[in-house]
Amino acid sequence: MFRRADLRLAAAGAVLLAATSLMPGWLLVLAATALAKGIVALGLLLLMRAGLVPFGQAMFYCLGGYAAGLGSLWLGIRDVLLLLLLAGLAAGAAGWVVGLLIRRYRGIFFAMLSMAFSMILYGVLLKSQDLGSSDGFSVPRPTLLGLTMTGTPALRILFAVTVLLTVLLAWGVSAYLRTAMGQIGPAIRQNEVRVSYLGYEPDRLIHREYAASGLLAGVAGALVAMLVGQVDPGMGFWMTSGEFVFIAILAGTGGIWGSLGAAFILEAVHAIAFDVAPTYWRLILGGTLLVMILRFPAGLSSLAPRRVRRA
Amino acid sequence: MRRLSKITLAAAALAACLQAGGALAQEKLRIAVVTPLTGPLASVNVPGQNAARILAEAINAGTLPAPYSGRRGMGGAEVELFFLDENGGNAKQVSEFRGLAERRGADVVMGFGSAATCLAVAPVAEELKVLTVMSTCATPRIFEDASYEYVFRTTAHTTMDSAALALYVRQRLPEVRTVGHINPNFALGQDSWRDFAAAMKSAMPATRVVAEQWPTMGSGQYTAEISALAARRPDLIHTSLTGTDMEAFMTQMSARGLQEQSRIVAPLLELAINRMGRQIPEGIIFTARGTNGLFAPPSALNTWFTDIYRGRHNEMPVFTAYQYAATLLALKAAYDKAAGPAGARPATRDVIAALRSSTFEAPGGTIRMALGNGHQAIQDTAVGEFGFDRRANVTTVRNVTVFPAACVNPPAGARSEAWLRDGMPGADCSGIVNR
Amino acid sequence: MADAPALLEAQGLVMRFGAFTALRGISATIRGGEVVGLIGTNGAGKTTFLNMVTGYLRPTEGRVLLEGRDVTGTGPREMVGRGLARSFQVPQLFPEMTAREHLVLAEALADQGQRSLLGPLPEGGRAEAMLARFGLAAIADTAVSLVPQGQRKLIDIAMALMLRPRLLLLDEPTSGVSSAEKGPLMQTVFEAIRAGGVTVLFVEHDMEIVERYVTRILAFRDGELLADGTPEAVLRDREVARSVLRRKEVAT
Repeated sequence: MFRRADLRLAAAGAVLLAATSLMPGWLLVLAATALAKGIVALGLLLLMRAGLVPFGQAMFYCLGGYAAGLGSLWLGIRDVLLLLLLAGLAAGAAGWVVGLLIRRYRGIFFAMLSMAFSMILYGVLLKSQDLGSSDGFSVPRPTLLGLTMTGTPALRILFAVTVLLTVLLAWGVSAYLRTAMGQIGPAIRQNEVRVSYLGYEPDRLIHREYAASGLLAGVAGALVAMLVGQVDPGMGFWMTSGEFVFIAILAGTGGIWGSLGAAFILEAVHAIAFDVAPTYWRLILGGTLLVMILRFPAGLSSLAPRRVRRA
Repeated sequence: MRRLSKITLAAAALAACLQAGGALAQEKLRIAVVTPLTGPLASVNVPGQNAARILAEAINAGTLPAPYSGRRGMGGAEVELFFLDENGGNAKQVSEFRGLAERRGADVVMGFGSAATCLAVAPVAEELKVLTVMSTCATPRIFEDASYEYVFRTTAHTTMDSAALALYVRQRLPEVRTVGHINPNFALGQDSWRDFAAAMKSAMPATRVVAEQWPTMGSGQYTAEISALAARRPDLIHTSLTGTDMEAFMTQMSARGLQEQSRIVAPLLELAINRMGRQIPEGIIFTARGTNGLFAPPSALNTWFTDIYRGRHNEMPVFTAYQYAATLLALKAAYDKAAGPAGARPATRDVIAALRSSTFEAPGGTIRMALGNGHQAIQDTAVGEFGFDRRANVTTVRNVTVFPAACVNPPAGARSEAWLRDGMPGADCSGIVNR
Repeated sequence: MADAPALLEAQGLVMRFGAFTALRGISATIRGGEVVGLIGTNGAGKTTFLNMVTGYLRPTEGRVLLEGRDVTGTGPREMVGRGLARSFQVPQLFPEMTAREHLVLAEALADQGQRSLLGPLPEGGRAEAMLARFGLAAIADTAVSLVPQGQRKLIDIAMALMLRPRLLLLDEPTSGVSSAEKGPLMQTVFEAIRAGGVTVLFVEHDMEIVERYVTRILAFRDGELLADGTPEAVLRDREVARSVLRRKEVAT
């Protein structure tokens, strides 16, 4: 059940938790955002192992954020854990519904359909004056198990929740990748017909993994919404999806560490570029991505040692 | 050995990053300017950047004209501006704001072109107790939805535009019966139309709306909407299209002659007049978020400002430039007052006390921090018709009406949306001047 | 064996691809316990026939019955669920996975009714035994794209056997394999098959192999069933000799 890799994950989580009291506010927000994007990347990992690249993952990220916000404002739910659950379920359900259609498509059609759905959501949110249109609306600070949080302690608590959630979800994905079902994705990518001839319907797996990736992105969106205290339709814009795809490509499909590492690296480069070259940060970010992809075409996860001789 | 030194180096770097502030902030007053440096809004906000740099230099050199002549710096300290790109999403802006306060030693943060960023950052500024002065962002919501100690805005908000334009139409175009609009379908456009429609309903209750067009923001292609408006022939058309969208609309619309059958009211036209100049049809009614630019009352300050700006950038400053200049002048006045004659760096709360409810001179006229408990500015504004002097090759404005601040800004404690709807109660319009 | 119940029945199968007719009304019955050889020249419609009875292609006309139930056009996954399994002329493998990973996955999917796929992968189970039986232990941990053709065919067939099918369909199991290896390959395969008690239908060009293993032969020509009977009867048939065997001899 628990492998050495899981212990490493728990250790990393413990280190981050220990560092919480040392980290200033800006670093807490930055690191928490990086972890949240890492969670989205975990969902993308599943789909990319099956050979699919969704260009609309921001849809679920945005839905999760709005679910957390509306859950606070309309349903009066203030507990952070309940809001995360609500966001995950809402986004997962949306993923399941969209999956009914999208499960049959592959390649560019899958990518574009995914993007189309996300732009529909974006358009609806933009037009909705009740939801603040492009300004979005504020998400109040959540409570944790009844305790209200303010100021920097609130940030520390949210960061700690993010760390724990990331460790939990990463462990979950890692365990899933070790099961039989976790092998079907790569099998579909390598030879889809053979999978059906082994008695498993490829569309069915893709549907499930798509819904799961939606759930993960939704949880991430809710975390960021509560951290930043604001949601807006930009969370669902295609450029946000593009950022997630960048992370996933940099990560590669080897395993969870690539996904989490890539999210951290890109967030760090983004922050450094922002500081160092406020007018040219996009150039630096794009250039860094290009250099890293050329150096590691199979992604960062290809750096992990392999016990198996592969082509 | 090599490995150990790598670890030491990494640890030292980490420690350096985690140190709040730094030795830099001791002498100079560090002002962070958050403004779109990249992306679609950059072109509209570049004049703001330009003006900020001009003002900072002049403040440090002591070359400002009256009433700011005499004292160099702000409260005796040299001003250092540094810029941050207002892009990348709210989460990025919030974490960058914290970085400004905790890592980069910003004493003051100013700028902000986008309403979404303003709304996201205001609570954080308050939490971190960082003096934040918004120069541009337009939504009334900031000080109507919440109250702040550390957040200020040195420009009036868009309610003023809608009130002034409606009153102008009532006075100059009393025959208007039907109104149409074309506004981009996002917060800015939606809010602008809602406010203008409410103001028109109050000012001219006999008018009715006959055409509504909501193109997508950034679309750039308005043929269908123009056809629809041309078919309905409203007496008046309102548009808050801005930047390149505005330019595209003007070009496409004038080719169809839309301005011949409908009078056009464009609150954000002023931002495009330098780029478009003679391509804008005559007679379009516009304003400048205050008596800025072509509407500025003559003063030594305005002459100085426009001369320097034009000398350096070969064009007249538009209202975003005026707004950034106003912010820096407000800060200078507050810092000078709080520092007192001794010249020691005043505490932030003293600066806040000096800024709150203050009145100061800007190139566009007098600005009073009268709303939001002394944190939100009001100012006079003016509305006029666009003209282009072909002989002199300059943009001009005709049939100007100046509206005093108390006429077109909601009174303290009122909510803008309701104020416009209810007929602008409490407005004092006794000082209107027609030129 | 003639009294054994009908396992697979093809009734008047016709396959048209636009203007081209691949199969012109094939009717045949395969009973439990038979080993049926399907012979014919290239283009005669053999692979198309396999594709149809495994549900990969929907016939233009005709029906496929499995144990009396109409399963026409149901799709490979369901056919596999009903006890069918197939190997391919060009081995259909997962290039980046190892031989062991192939068989472990096949084992997990074969048992998905009894054990959740979210459980751990089977270790040391039937897959190991199958690797040993097929002599694949040496290359068990090598990616199959690096493995020689003969062993790739074995992996392909082994995967099909892992599914514990009642009816096994092999499409040219020895094609692309050197003459020296053909015999041993088929011997291994049939030992494994006999151990499981499986009904077999296989397409083959090598008549020696056909004669050694089959109990019945179906001969195709140009989309039609030319002959259907015991090896002795079919191989001595004049038409078969002329159009199927003669051409085959010329080609070799």
